[in-house]
Amino acid sequence: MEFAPQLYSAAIRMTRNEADAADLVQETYLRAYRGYPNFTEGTNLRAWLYRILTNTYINIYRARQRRPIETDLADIEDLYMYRRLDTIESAASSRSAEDQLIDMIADDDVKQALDDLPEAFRLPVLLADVEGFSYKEIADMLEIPMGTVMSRLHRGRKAMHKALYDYAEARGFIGTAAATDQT
Amino acid sequence: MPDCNQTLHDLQLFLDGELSADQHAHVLGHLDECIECYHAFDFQAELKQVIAEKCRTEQLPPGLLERIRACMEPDLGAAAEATEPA
Repeated sequence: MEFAPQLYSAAIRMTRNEADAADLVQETYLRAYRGYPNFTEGTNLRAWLYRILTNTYINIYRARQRRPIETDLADIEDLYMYRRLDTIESAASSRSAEDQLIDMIADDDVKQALDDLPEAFRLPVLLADVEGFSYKEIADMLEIPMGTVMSRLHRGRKAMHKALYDYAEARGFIGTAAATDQT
Repeated sequence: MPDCNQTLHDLQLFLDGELSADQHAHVLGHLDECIECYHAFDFQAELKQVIAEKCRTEQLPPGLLERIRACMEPDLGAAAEATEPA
């Protein structure tokens, strides 16, 4: 079960709680073993397991969450974080602020920013940015067209980047203090 | 040679490895000559990498693997060999 740790990490981001994530991984393995005769040798075992994980989540755990399925997300400009940092840096005349900011991004902030995305955006972002699947693989897993994968990724990422920028600002990593020369 | 707007438009596809070899080469060519676009791409690439790294850190709960194996016992008897690739 070499993929179990990865599947569990993904399951946490899907269900947003540890007990459901453990159950989801267990159910995924059960379904995988029972469905193994349908697995085509030579194809991608990892992608096949993630497809079962995603289907199981959508069919069982999502229904249980009883939240309305949010599908909307505010429109955010492209390169949100980069453009803002760029403005600050023109004043501070330093390129390294960008690298410093990226170094300071906290694990919990990234997880929170991803967890806060509406599900329609959270799953494509998780599968692409964290798990590294191709648009085609994600389209197959979520049973949505490739164009939808691309647009949800685009909008989901922008929302996530804006959230990360806002967290960094709230923590005092950026803002007026960073814009002034402190030496 | 694509201009900056076209290059930034292709940013997501480029970083996701979804451009054709031709398009990919075109973007690389532009990034070689345009420091502004290069910085934007570099920042977004790094951000993508950091997000991936920080979301892969969950530890498997102790006992979960054993629990899964125990659940599969009945199935395992039937097809143990064929079902142990992972």
